Amino acid sequence: MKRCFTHLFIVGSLVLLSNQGFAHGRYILPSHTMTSAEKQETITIQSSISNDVFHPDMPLGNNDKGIDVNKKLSNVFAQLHPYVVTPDNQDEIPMSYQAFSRFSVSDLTLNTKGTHNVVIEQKPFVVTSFTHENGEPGREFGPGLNLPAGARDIQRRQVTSRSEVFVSFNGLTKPQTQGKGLEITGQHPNDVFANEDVQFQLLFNGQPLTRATQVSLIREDTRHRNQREANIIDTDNNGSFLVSFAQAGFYLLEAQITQNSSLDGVDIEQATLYLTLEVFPQ
Amino acid sequence: MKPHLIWAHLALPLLLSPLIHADNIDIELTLPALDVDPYHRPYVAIWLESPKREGIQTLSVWTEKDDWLKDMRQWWRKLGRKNRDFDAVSSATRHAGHYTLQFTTDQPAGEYRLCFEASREDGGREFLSQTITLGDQPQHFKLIGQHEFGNISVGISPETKK
Repeated sequence: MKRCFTHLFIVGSLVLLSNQGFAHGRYILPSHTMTSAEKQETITIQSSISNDVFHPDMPLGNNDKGIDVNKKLSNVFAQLHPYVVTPDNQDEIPMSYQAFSRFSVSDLTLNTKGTHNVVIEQKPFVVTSFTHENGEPGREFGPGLNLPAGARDIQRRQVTSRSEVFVSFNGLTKPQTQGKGLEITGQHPNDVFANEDVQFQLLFNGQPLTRATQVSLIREDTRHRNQREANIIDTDNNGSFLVSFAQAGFYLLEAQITQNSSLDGVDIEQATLYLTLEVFPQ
Repeated sequence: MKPHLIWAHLALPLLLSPLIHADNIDIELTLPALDVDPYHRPYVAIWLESPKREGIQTLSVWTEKDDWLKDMRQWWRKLGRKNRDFDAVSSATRHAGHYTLQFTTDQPAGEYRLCFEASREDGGREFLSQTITLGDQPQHFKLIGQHEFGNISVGISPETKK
């Protein structure tokens, strides 16, 4: 038996943007990804759970100082870990997002030169999917302790996700990967310009992938066009891929891997990355 | 024998008769199976507009929650937001598949646009329309969907009734 974390399979269409409804798409959208100032600069960051790209639908994160009318998300918020990694991995600062009806929001003051990694981690969370006796699909948050009689095809999925964006102040420093979940390395995420080839590589728990997968890139403003125009890109066997952006703008990069699990009470582990990229015009 | 057949046998000139026109609109519509996960069933609206694109009559709406009605943008603009008349012709959203639909409309004879719109959460939106003439010869049309619709065939067959 190989390592328990062997990729037994990676779902073919990894671009399962938002799996089974639990995770709709989610994003972090900063007012700025590039800043310069004499002493410091403050940016405002919006976060949301939404299937439209950068059009907010539901809040993501809640410090109880806002107006969260959608209390049904409290079990999701309880598993969030929002933080910022300061340049050169020097410090990890907790973040606090104020929830409103359609999005959450936070300020971030930058006063250290270099690249900051703004992250909202979704800690492991089990979702149980099953088939009802009558054939209808069912789903329950949690390990499925209260499944209806006759439930079959029971699958316990442990989901994690990482929503992130990189923001630089007075210049770039090399982002340090955290070794947790799905991450990206390669081209500096604050140095992406339209019509240039950009090389990225996906990492899982700090290691290159061991087989090919797919990533999806969707340009902002999906509400204002009829097709989402997702750019689906195949990676090589190490998770590397090359992309060129025809248009400037904010983009949401999504990738997801799924693998069999050896954890107690978990059948499948699933990790998702939602990375916001700002592409500048030439 | 049905009344409209009797009238037909009498061969009264349409223009001179005090008849009310009715037209059957027969539609064969395909919602394509899409290899996406999650697949949300699309919201679909079918309606009539005037040649100047004024909303005339909603023929059918496939919907679940009002929250997403407005995402059928064209239909919402032309008819949906104006009143709840569509409640009488709304039904549940449907899975991918082939559907045969039949409507009868008693709109006055003349030219109309028959409009189709589909909108899918986490997916795209598609709008198709076809100019038709009510109270005229039987007509057949085929519309080619690219995204949310497959092919749509339309048959217009006027009938005359008292």
